[in-house]
Amino acid sequence: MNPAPPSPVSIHRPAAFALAAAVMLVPANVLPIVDTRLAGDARSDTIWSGVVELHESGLWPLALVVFLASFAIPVFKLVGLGCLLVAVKRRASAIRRPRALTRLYAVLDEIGRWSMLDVFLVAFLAGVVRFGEPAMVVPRVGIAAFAAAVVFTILATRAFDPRLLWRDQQPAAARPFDA
Amino acid sequence: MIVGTGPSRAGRRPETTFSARTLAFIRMQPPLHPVLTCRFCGQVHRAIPLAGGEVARCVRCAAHIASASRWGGKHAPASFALAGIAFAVPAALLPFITVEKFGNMRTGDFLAGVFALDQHGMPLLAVWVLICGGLTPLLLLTGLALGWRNPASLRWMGGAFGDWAMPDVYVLAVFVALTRLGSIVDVELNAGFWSYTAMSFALLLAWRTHRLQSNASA
Ligand SMILES: [Zn+2]
Repeated sequence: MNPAPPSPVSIHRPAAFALAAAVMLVPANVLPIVDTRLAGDARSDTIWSGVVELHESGLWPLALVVFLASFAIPVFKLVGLGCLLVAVKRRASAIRRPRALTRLYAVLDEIGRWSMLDVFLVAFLAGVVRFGEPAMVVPRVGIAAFAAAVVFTILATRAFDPRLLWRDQQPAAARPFDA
Repeated sequence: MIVGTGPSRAGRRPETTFSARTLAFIRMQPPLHPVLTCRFCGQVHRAIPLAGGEVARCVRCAAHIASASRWGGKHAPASFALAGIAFAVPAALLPFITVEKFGNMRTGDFLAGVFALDQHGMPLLAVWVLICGGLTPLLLLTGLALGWRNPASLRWMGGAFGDWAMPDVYVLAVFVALTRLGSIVDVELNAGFWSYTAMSFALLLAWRTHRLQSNASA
């Protein structure tokens, strides 16, 4: 039924991309992503301290948005991809809950892009706040590492073939589906 | 709501033997009905026309594979795409926001952010932001405006570049930046940002109406 039957090696590529993403998340979270100078007051922010600062200045809805985009989504994507890869790798016969896993894949595929929020945010702020000494926003290397991690998670999802989840399942019988 | 028709028989081979001429004739015949393959599990479906607002789900994995638009005729994707291209011009040229601090005025726009990354020693990241926020959306808009005759190449383009077009994420980032700046400096939104937002919506609508149509008839 499948136009191109997935081969056993097809999980190596998504696994490699996911690993690369996990590795890049370390410098992305340890190194500063942005320096802010404002009226003699200079501070250097990591992803986490940026979220905390938003929260402390009372902008908690923003803190939540940035937290979701910069922490929750990358971690959820990597864990989800891990589940999918493990399910495909150690299948003895047919995978037990292919529908749920397919749904998980569809969600992972959909949300990955929103992680780029912090990258765009730093880029935009650096383009606007350029008053020289009094006020300045300078991007730091952590944001490049974070962007690389996001790109790797997207590449990993793209490389994963969801048809692997259905390899040993029977094709659906001819019946109408309503849900 | 009902779409499932189970395994398609389009690929079935005839069991009797034919002369070469008859075979050529059979091969030239279009399949009896159009075929739709689920991209998640590979299940092949017989495509049937959907009424407006109907959703088609895969009979096997229940993934959403097609739905029919309530509005918009055959030319809806190209029209939305043309509108998006029209909005892209002011979005690229006009400032997004104006910031005032210590009596100084600064404007910021999409390209200023790209150049700032480049100036601070991150040319690759600058190119990446340019691609995701500007070039890929433009490419998709151009394809949708021109390519409505050729759904196959459009589908290829969507598969290859669709993941990398993120104007909607950029719009959210500007809103976050705006709120963040608002607590420090005086900020004002300008026409460039609204044009960019309109371009982002136009791309969304063009892509959606296109997908609905091409799926319903593919
Ligand atoms: Zn399916």
